[in-house]
Amino acid sequence: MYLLVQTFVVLAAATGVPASTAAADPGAGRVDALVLQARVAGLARSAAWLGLGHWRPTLWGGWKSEADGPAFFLAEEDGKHDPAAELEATIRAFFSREWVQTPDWLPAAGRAEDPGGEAVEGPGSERRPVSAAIAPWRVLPHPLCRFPARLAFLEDVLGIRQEELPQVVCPGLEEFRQAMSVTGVDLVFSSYYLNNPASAFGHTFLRIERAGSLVRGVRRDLLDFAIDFSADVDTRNSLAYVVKGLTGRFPGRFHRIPYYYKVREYSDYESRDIWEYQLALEKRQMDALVDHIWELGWTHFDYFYLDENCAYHILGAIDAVLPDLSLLEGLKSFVLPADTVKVLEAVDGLVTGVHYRPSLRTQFRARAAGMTRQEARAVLSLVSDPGTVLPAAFEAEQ
Amino acid sequence: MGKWLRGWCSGVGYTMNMAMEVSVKSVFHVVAAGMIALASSSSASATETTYGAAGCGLGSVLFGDEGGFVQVFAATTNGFFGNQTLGITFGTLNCGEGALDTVGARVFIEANREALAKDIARGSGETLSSLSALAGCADDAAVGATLQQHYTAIFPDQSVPADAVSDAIMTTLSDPALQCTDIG
Repeated sequence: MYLLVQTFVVLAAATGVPASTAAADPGAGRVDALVLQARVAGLARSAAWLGLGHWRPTLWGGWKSEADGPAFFLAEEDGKHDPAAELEATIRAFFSREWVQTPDWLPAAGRAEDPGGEAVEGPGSERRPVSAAIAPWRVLPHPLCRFPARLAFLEDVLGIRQEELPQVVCPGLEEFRQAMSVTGVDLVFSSYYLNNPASAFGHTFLRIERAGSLVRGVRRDLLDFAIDFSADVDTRNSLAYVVKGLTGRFPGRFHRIPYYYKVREYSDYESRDIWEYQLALEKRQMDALVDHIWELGWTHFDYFYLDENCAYHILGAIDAVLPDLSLLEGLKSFVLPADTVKVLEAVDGLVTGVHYRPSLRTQFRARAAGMTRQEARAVLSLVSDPGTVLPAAFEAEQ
Repeated sequence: MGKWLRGWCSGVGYTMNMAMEVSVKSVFHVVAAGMIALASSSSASATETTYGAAGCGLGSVLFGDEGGFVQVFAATTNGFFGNQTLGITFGTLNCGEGALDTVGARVFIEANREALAKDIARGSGETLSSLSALAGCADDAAVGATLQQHYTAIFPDQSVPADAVSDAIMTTLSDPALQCTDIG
């Protein structure tokens, strides 16, 4: 018996099962009462809850969540189409001391893909992959570790107290929050101007301003994190690419990546100017956004090139933590990345600052434009022969 | 329809003027290389095989082992979606966990090699300051000046492997006078 108990505790520590049973079990009565309270309050139809689950109304009067991964839903039946069932399941799951850690859609040990073809992964690394490949999740952490933004919402509106919940440890979530250590959020828009100055297509993603990027009073933006939504593309065939892109055959996911990668990619390699729109979020809202991004890391969204694209889902993530603004309603049926910037700018006081980061090419042009003929000639000769001796008239700095 | 296909969400054109773009880009890069006189690692040089072994940098992914502008072309034309060019996910980019969890100095150097070469050549710049901050150095200006002095040692020629560049920079930063506290 002792061995059994010990085994359970060890397992518990490894998977986020409540290691401590010291917390008082509020019992089924309390959970039922909360479920009833939520029902009476009509929480399942509140903008905040619908936003957190990315449910949108369907033409037939029902609901459908844009999230397409099974790990995003806790309701046994159909959380994707039933916000109320999902709400109830979420409340019960949060209080659960026993839950299914290996639902049958999880990949079997040793296989990277589940039967549906989706690699099940988390946004962090509670189980650290040894290689560069993403390790599949074979055991799901406790719902409290997976849905921190839902938890904060329910604590807020239902008065759930921390101490009545199972005491679970969430190393992955904590590591993610620590890595983000958010002090500010920017919507980043990158243009593409190379051949067609009249075009302003682009890409949008988020920049999470980290506390650690503030060094001796100066912000080093390059050290921030970018949160990007993009499709995992599995073909190089142009036709398949277009067809799959238009019909939602690519899974899109949220990724995090050091911001300097994005700057190098867009600004240097692709010669695209970058605009950063700082958002006036309260600290509470920033934390909620980071938590919600963590939640989104557990799922994928079928990527529809024309509407459910990067810009749409980035805005959707912001919308989830600012439900009162109804940001998504400001979008047209086809979403251009620039539209999301317009939507945010249309909200009074939401965008507090704009920072422009010219691409390497833009900088080069600006510098070249200021050159004398002699200087330009010297540069050209340097290009053809790096050993060229510069005219004596040039100062060392030039 | 044609308009839609021109790259929302990454905004990369899927049109016939790609060829022109590539040539514009290459000319631009070559001229830029001249601008930073002697900088060893321009994009032009990246089209040679030197970048294939870059390990962690953008270049290694962007140029892969195929090399050449063919790869840039492929990357560009496939760029409907944000990360197609890079394949960045939570744990990839040829770096395993490194690029993701620790925004460490060495990873930073490899990913920012070209921008660093430019900054080190002139002894200052955003990328250089960021490296200095990341490595916990006491004084950005001193770091800039010191690295600038060692420029030719760090970037001896175009074929210098990425590891050697990182090693040389890290060694330079380990000078006690710079008081860099976070260089592992």
